Amino acid sequence: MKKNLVRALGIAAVITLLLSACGGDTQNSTKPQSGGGTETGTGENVDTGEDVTLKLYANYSDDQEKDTLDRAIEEMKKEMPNVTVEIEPASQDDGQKLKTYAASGNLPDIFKSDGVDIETFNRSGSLVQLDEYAKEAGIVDDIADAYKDALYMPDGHIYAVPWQSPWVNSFYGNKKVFEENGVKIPQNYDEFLAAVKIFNEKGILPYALFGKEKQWCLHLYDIMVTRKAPDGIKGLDENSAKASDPDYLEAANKLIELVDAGLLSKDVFNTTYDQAKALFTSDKAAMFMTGTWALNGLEQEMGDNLVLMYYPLAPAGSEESAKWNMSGGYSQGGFSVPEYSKNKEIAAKYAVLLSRKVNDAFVALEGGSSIYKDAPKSEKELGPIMTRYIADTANFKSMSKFDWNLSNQELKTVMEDKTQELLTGSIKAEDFAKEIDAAIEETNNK
Amino acid sequence: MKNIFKNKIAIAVFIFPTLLIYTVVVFYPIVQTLIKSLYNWDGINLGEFVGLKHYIRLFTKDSVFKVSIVNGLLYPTITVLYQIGFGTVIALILSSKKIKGSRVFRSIYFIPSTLSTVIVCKLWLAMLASDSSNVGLINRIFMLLGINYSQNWLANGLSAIIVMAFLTAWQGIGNTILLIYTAVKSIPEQYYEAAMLDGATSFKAHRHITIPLLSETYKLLLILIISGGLRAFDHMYIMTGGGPGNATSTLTYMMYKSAYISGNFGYACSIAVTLVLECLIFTLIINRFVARERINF
Repeated sequence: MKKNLVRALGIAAVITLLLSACGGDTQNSTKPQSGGGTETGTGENVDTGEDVTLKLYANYSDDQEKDTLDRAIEEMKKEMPNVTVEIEPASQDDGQKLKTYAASGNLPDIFKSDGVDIETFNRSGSLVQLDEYAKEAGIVDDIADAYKDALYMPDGHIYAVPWQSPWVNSFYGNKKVFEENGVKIPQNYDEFLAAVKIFNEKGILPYALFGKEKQWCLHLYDIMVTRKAPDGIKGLDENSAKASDPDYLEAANKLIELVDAGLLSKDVFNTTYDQAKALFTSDKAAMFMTGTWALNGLEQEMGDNLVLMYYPLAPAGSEESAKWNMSGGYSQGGFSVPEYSKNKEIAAKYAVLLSRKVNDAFVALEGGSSIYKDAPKSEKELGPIMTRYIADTANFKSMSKFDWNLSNQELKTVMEDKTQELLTGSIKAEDFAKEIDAAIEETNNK
Repeated sequence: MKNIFKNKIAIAVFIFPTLLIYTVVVFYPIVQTLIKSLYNWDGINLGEFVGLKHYIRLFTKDSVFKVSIVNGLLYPTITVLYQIGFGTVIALILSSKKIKGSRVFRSIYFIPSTLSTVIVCKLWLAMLASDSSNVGLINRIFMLLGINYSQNWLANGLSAIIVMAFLTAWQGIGNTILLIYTAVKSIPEQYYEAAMLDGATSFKAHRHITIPLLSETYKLLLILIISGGLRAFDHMYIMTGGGPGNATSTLTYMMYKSAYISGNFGYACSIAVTLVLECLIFTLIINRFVARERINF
């Protein structure tokens, strides 16, 4: 009996080792995708005008995403009529589906990517360099100078063409709540702290933060830091700053002070975006924070009651100098093409042109500023606040990064966790800084 | 039939498909996880061999690991105490002939087990809400009773873990009651009749007959509940996101974060191996100390 058991286990172990030998080499697991077009000697299809179907993995869930992409694809039919796209809506899953595709060598012909994805996927050289395609399509010449950097990855090549102008994090105020409670809309940190205390005394939530999404806790810290250190969390990500630097430490201490004064809801870490927004728009909260991509929608919903606040957290006297230190910003990203796509050339050409069409469609349908010099006119009537914001983008002096654009993923996770802990008020600023600095050291010495 | 059992080739033919599936689905991933735990691996590209570096970091440097281990022990402790303790009492009451409508009660106790974890978590999140603009049922009850005990139950790591363990137990107690109830019902009536003739009270009969005879059921329940508790993930994911900070992190949640948020699959594999070992240790302990032959009647 024992012998049989040993034999069975032996067989199982052999099969396992055989399977282990088959797997693992993800670098070489680059299987080609859908067919179409004419094959060259290298197995790729070149654009011969034959009908080709490409798989496109893109944001295609809410109405705005669908309208924008549909419009862009319609426009693409004029440019490349022989190409049909099959859209696979991108999942809201921290990029897991895409990573699984990449790991198994099944990336779609064209997929939306961000800077972190590009670096990870391209470590084994599996993305098509789009330099020539972008040049040929006039992207390199037409893109506004301010955004040119966003085209190139650290190795100096283009792997995706961005389609949106940089958004930033922003504070929004509910004018009605401020007026009804006789509170002045704050311009600096002292006024902000005073407003928090008054609202708290009156039983109004001063600031609706959707802290269940930890990145927004980190964004709040970033906003506070960027009042004095413009790089904010970008500096920590790039190892050019430490959380124990005086400006960063001061920001952490101020956040603790605000939390102690009652800035946040008791349920802040269980609050979702929809809940926080509902509190703000239903006059239960005085202030709210989200990206400026939500500005147009908020303005339509709240009209004159909405106030766009440029981070009233700078020390009194330095409001103007810190006003245009923006939190958030652009990153590399757009549509990318895997090297192993059977329709590599067609897909690369399509991806580059589609990025621009998406930019144009977004500007036309939703408003906002274009990343290209020759922007189409917005078909949407923009409210005065959105119009002002677009004009203000020209004044932006510096940008940090959005949480999801940080390249050091492990550090990002630690920063998110620790900032959330900081906002509970249960950790000292010095301990917070110590933990972040330790993570910076650990992750950079890997 | 006897001929088939004597024919080794026939046995091999019958066993092979199952063995193959088991190897591919269970054994192979375990071996792969073990191997990958020795690599710096992002889940996509080829990894770099780093030996025991992940394990050294896990056991000596990672403060989240300590929190996760403590939570991983606290969580099943509460669920075991609640589920087996209350489960036994309720099952014994329901199995009593004196209780009318025990079938209805059995169904009622089983209702939470039929609900999805997401629904249960959302339900309890609403009940636990503590903000002045949206006070939940639990805190409102304290307020109505004039007891100054309203609080944010999920803002503190310890209370959050206790609350989530309670939820898990509340949701799973239906299954526990059902298993214990079935086991109680399978005990021959004559044992109790003999005990009663000897003058035993109902409590004594349960103490000396029912409980010892439930040892195998308890063993099964302990393994199920403890390994379930050690692998706790969904409640943390839905209700607290492992927070505030990492206060409600468990090994499973830590593994998920390392792999899918931080992109460090190699480190996540080392956590997975540790988790498997932890589950194995507990299973061995249970098998060692809750063996039927060790129970005194």
